Amino acid sequence: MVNLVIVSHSARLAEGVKELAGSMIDGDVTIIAVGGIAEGDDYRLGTDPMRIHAALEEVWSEAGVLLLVDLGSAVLSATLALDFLTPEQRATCLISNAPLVEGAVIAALEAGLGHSLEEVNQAAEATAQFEKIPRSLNSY
Amino acid sequence: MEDRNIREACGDSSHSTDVTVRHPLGLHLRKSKDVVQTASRFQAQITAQNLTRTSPVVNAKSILQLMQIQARQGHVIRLSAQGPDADDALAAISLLFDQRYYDLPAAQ
Amino acid sequence: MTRDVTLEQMQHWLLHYADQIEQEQATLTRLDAAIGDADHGVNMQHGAEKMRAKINDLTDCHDIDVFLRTIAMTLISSIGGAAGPLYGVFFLRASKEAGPGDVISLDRLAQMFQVGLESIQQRGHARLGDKTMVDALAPAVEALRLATDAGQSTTEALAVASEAAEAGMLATIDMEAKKGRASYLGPRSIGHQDPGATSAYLLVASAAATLGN
Repeated sequence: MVNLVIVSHSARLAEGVKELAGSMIDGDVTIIAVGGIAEGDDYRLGTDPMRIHAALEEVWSEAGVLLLVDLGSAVLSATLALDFLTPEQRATCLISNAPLVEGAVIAALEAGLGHSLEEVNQAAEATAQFEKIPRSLNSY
Repeated sequence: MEDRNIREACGDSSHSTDVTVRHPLGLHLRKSKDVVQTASRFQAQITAQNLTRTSPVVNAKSILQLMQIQARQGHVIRLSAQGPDADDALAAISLLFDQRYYDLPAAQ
Repeated sequence: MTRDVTLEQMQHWLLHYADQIEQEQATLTRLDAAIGDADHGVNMQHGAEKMRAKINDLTDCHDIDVFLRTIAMTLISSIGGAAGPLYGVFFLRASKEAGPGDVISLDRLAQMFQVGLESIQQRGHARLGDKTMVDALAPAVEALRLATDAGQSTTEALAVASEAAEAGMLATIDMEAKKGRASYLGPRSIGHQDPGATSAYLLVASAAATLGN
């Protein structure tokens, strides 16, 4: 199964997305939330490439890992984390272009169905076009 | 025409059934998830169409497509299946809309 | 005239840099508030604190590459914004270039800055004129190379590098941002000095203040 790593500037947001996406899983999918920069017992806003790297090491499998990220430097941090992996691990990890919440929810479902990393990512990224209020259908 | 030829050549049968969404929240995300997960267990091609809205016919194994038919409480969904296990697939999915088992509001 | 740089000087360099960041934190925040999300000062401040603590802990480190790699890892985990990975890769690549041992030549130092700059550019996809830290670092790297090849002393070479970094930093005022949050502002980013270029200038200025002889 493809596993997921949720990366957010906010520790609480990452955990919340993990909780929501976790409710969609029917299968043996692992989701790890990585949010914020550790500061004492708490977290401040930011992304930590080393913790993302540790999460990738923890959930890596041959089926692959999809990273879902929030904004801005989360991408830079995730990219750097990937560069700390071995080439073999790196080959089956992907940073998704999907919106964080919609992407994580759909990715969790797709991963649980046993789909491939590419399929999971495609479904997650397709949520960017998802209309919350469809204009194509008759309204009430 | 071409479709029918292929169907006949494969010996598949095509079936459909209509279900009504009873839940106050409509065909919500979690319910859509259940439909997709159930549909994915069958080989048959399974589609859904919101008859109330005259929506496009969508793939019931795709959560994104299912959510796009925007099924609300009271809407009628036409489920169609084509393939060797079409009957079983429709029976299993229909069960998800049977309020004796699902869609009951949580007890307070 | 010696043209070597020692590990001890490098420790002074980065302690000095940490002091500079703390002194200028309000300025960095103010600059970032104008065109970014006002967190560069705070982010760099966190990095500076962690870096200072790490240097003070690293009493039995005898190799420049180990020292710089430790700095890289510390900054990567503590800054939090885009500057974390960017300063991180700068020091990671510089560490590889430096190699083991507790002393390097000025020529090697110039090379360290060169590869460090390249790694930032690769990582951030930023080019000269994009209104980023590259605009302060690139002129500094070039000036350092020219002065080194011309046979100048470490002090002289780093002084011209620092001047070039300052000029590059000030030149970002008239630039339109092409990278990062500031690029969302488009032409409205013109007229503001780039905070990343400012912290990058401080890095070179700290080198000039500490690595000479």
